[in-house]
Amino acid sequence: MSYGFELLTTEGYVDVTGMRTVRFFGSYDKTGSSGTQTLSGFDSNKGTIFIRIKDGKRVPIFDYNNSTKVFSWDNTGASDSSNYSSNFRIILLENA
Amino acid sequence: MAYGFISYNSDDEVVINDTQPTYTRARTGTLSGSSMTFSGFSNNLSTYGYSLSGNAVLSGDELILFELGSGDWLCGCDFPLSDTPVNFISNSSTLGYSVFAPRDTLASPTGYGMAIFNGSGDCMWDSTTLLSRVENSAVLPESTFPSGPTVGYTSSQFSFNGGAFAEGGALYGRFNVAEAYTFWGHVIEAVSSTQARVTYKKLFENGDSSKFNPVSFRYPIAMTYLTGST
Repeated sequence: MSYGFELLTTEGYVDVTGMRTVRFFGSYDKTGSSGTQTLSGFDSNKGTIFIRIKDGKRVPIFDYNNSTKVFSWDNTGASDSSNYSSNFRIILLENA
Repeated sequence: MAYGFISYNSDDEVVINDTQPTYTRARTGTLSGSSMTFSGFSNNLSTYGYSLSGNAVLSGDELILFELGSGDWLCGCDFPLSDTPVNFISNSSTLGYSVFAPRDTLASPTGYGMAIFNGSGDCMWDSTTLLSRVENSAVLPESTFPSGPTVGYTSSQFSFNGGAFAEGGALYGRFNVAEAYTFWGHVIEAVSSTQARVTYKKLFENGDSSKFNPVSFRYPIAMTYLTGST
């Protein structure tokens, strides 16, 4: 490379020109069949919301408003609502 | 910035900085699957079920990435669809894995190399641990529904250099599609050593309507993130 920064990876030296890393942004533990959580500063265009289920059920029915930064979930409207998780961890990843 | 360290790529995206710990590899191993059965249903595909055990058990903000060989696929499991509940389903009887953790939760580096620390002295990145990197991703829209036992969507197919697939949340293929008397998996598949895709596969079937009450299709996407680090 003529200039810049290189990292040694399993594919040899890779410069940072096109590299995208996975970085930890924050996390929240949540319980309940519905609720909200403000994800301050998190831009879903620059990362991913990762949900870890703790009760062995389905991913909760959730939405994220990137303008207001409000994450909300509501399982109560589903006919099989008891199958959806009410104990999970929100992990925010940033890669841009 | 007044002080610190930030490295950007050519798209002006942050690669490494001193405020966010990078995900780096904490440990590796191999899991063995159990051949799956589901009462009242027959296997449409040979499937093995996996639960996280031993070093694969996650804590805190850890992520686990599974390595898929050419032709192998992986499906996250939202709820028990076998006689023994499992976390993942695959066509492969063993799965290599790497657990990645935020760098600041691991031991500080020693010896030679380079490291980036935050203002509290926590290591955010260092040159001695394996870095998790995003290679590509794909999304399968909710409106797409399978019309055959295995449907590949070329629009979701992309190249990669080999590596692993992330699990969890919206990151992985998951079992999430059901129609009368069949179970469909929303899977991540390595169609070759250099091509991956998200797709659907029919996993179980049964012609008896009393065996299964169809559920609606709730998950809009399956997204694949690959790393080139494992």
